[in-house]
Amino acid sequence: MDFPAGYPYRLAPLVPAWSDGKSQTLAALACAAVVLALWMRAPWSLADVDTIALQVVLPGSLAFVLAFAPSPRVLANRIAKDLVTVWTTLAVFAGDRIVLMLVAIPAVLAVSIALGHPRLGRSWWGSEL
Amino acid sequence: MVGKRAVIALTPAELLAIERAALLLGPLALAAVMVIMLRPNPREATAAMVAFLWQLPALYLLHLLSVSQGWWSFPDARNELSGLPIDVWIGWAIWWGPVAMLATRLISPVVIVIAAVTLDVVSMPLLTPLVQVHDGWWMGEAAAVMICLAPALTAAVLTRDDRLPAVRAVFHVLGWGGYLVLLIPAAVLSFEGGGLADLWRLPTSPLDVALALAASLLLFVGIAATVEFATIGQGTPIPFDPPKRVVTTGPYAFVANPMQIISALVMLLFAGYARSWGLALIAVSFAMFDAIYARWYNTGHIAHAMPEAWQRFSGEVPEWSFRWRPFVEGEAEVAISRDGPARWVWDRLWRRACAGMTRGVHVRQREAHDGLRLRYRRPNAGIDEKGMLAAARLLEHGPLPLAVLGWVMRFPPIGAVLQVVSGLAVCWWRRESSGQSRRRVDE
Repeated sequence: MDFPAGYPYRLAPLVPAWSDGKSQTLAALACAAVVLALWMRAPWSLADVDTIALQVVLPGSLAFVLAFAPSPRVLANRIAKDLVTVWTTLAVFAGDRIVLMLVAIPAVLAVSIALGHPRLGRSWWGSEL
Repeated sequence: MVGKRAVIALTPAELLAIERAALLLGPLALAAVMVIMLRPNPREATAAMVAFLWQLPALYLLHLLSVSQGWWSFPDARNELSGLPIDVWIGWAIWWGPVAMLATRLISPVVIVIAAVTLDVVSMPLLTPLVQVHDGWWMGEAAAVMICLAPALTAAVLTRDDRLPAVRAVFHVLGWGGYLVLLIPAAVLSFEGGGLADLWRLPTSPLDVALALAASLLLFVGIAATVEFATIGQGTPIPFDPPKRVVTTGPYAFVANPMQIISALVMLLFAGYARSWGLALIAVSFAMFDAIYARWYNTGHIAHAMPEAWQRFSGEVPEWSFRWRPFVEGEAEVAISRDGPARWVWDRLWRRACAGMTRGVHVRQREAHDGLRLRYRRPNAGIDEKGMLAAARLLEHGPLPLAVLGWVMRFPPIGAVLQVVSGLAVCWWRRESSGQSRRRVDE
């Protein structure tokens, strides 16, 4: 069966993009959002630590990890990765409505496809790698 | 000593909250450390994701079983789904998913299973007030290994090593089925204030029966499409572990995106059956994902990787509507026995009733190396089937309803039964024909 080497992705190990400026910015945004969300929930009670872990720390951590995930080759995937990172960051403020944010993920992905075409998207995210 | 006093000083509510937070954040932190330390390649990362995605519906199913069998219970009623604490659930899925998968780099999967079970046996009784174990809870532990841990590790290891796509397809059918018929409806209906019983109930009207039948038929087509990805494309429906060729056969000969259409339609039918606006919203969400992102993914990845095959396929097969007759690329070869039931059906029924379906089909006499009495080959599509599976492939040359019949015939349990029936028919025919020969000699 003939298929290109490295299809559908590169074969190299996944290495976090620690030194990438945009990744650092997104990660800092995630940290700031977690701090802000914690501040908004003050005063804290030890009995609520599980809710905070679930609704604030979990989405914040995922956003942090996503921010440093390796950059995809395809432009729309790079945009999708960044938008999902921002969306996950915003989820720290969603509380119980986080379910609705999950349902809306396809809309976020659709926006990333739309942004992949215009000049704006290409100027911000660059062209195909 | 100070630590013990501090634990004693905690109220039960505080202790419970700390346990729940630790069971979520502990596995999450461990998984993050393992990713950084082990630097998995994309295939290993995909395998870890497969293991996690398996665990969510599997652990939910285990919880439902646990409730019905009384193995254990979670008394706390905050942040839960059907009584299963969401934080514990996610943490457990990470622990038995990505953490277990990444640990296979260091130790054997068997050792991982033994270690996980040992840890559970030791820790579960100590985790009060979070979980209360009841008599016979070790039965639940055995069920957990069989339903959750072992299948997740198996699917993950096979994905990592890119082995046995047909077995991986079975896991994907079961896993996605778990999301479609169990997890997503449970989450949405609970969010709306109802429960899984709104969907999992007996039909009460002709409309209910029609919706249930339509959903079942669509699920059959979805399974056929998944099997086609595995057997012909040597891949799976998940975008990170795709087929290694453009699959143009089975349901893909009629529509380019059968699985996406079916997922959205089935969810819409479920919404009608459960009278749920939330499930209707999920169906819209599926449709949006399929129409925009999945469509782009196909053209952005498959079309780039295999441009000629994709161009031929996409020029002939519509993306969102069904062709009445299939797109058949290249010639098919049918080897059929000189006599017997297969030959009788071919001569007396097939060529008369289905004249249009024999176009592009080259028929020859069966030879010893062909095996069973009927063989169907389409080398350019990678198809080589025998017996009833070959008959089912022939039906795929016909209009859509006949092709659907072929997909039902290829569904493994049904296909196996039909093969046995056809074997019995051959035995009967042999006995009859030898009896006739004897009578002729006697006369």
